[in-house]
Amino acid sequence: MRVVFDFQNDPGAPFDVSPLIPARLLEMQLRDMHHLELQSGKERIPLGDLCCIHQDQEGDDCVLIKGHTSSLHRLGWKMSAGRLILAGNAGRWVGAGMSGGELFVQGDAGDNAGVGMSGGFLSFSGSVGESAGGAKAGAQTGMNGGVIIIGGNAGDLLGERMRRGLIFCSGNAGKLCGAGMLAGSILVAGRLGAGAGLRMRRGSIAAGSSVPLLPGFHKSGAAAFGWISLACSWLQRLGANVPLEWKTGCFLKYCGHDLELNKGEILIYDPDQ
Amino acid sequence: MQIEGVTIVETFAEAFPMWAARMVITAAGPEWARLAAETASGLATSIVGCNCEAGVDQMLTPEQTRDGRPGAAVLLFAVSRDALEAAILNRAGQAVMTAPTTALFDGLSDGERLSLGNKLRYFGDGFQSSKVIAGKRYWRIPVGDGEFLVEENISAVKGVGGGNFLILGENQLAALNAAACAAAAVRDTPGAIAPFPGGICRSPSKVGSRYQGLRASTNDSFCPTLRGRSAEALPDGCQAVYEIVIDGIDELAVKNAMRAGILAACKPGVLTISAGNYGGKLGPYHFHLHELLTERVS
Repeated sequence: MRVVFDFQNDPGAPFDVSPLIPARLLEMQLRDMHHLELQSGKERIPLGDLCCIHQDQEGDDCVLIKGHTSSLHRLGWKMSAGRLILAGNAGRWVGAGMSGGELFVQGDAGDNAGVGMSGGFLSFSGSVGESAGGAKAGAQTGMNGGVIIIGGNAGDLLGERMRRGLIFCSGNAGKLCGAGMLAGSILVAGRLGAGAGLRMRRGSIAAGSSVPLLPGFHKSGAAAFGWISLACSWLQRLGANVPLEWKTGCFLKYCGHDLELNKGEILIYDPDQ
Repeated sequence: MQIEGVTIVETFAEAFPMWAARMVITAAGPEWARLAAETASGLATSIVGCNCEAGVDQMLTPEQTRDGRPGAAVLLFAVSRDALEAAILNRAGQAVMTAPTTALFDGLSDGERLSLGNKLRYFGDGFQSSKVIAGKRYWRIPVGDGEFLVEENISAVKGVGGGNFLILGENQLAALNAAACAAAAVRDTPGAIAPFPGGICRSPSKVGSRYQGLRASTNDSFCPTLRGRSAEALPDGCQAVYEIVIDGIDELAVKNAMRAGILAACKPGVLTISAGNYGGKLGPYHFHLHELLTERVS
């Protein structure tokens, strides 16, 4: 069964759509969904007043949200199972805290996408704002598992304080990508912004190119890395637009950050080798 | 039963349960994958004198491997779970990790978990690291040409060892030609290997010996030069016997390989095809040749 929420008119104000969790919605009656309240500031408004809701039997079980969706925040908040599709742009905090399931955004997303997620699959066909896969303010760790695929560019602080999981960005990443990273992997097919890997302890950042790296990173050889071939093949099967040349290509390795354990690595693709 | 003028004896091959694993070795090119696979399955013809039985199952295209590189699958068989783990670790460490550009993966989707990278990683002497990709942990061991990537665990299942058939020919050349065709057919059957050199054993054995301490000795019943003293199992005119021994990941794989091998071995100059057994008292798997060749191909 598929449940469709069609926001035919712009809600006008930002709404918290965290109650729209597939596992919950697929067990609800249609009339109950109309009475489900969404919060906007201090107001609570029934979902039926904001969008058209209908059910059909197309495809697998999933929840589809479409229409004017840019002001919908916290979509898939802490979701743990099921399949959620957003046909349009998303607001902030998409997939934040999710631990399972699949969330597809067919558009761009705002800041804090996938912040603190610990599992599941989060995919964006467009670009994302700051702190994707990163940490909530004050949290010791960012993303702690799962996969994020970004079809466009990523803003600053991609994968900040990340501990586990995999992030792939088809475009460029902003400043401080992987800052404070504890482990995990970030693959950026485009260019890394300034300050990548600042104070990273462990983990890997692989990129197509980069602005000059921080002084705390030191050249550490070059090789074709098996884990990158493996990750690229897997991401390709998941539908990511991975650079095919990465599968067999050579990467320059820089280890760091030397203010920390010096066990992290930034790998920059070297087309000349 | 006659196939292409060759008599198929109404007998059966007797086989035994063995622990089995499948290693997938990938490399920068198919030749390196093949070399690593062949080296890893070296001196693994029979558990009578080797720590396991092993052979190359099939070559794999980049589309068939997890890392998108060309590869080779090796099947390994041993009498116990522990013996299999020890053999795999030894071979992975000495023959796969040492081969240029290779990576090593588990080739089965389920089964009991044996340590692989989990123990090999210590070769990294503290410089090893790991990655979790698609829910599986892989170890990265720094080596001379970069890194050796190896999966943390490998699966082991209960397979079947000792499937066999005997090719009895008019002369050595005819029997060898038929055996080579049979071995090629077994190689083309997924999930089964013929672990002897080129897939052919020219010294069929029997259990025990008149000498103390020997677990196996020549199967004198099938030695043409003992005609008159022993060799009573040989038909008139038989001057050469070759055995094809088959191990498979399951009973069906052995059946399919035996069927393909026997059909391929029915060539001019072959008199009879038979099989080795111990009267059905030792092994739980009995592959009756006539049944194999008459039942529907799976």
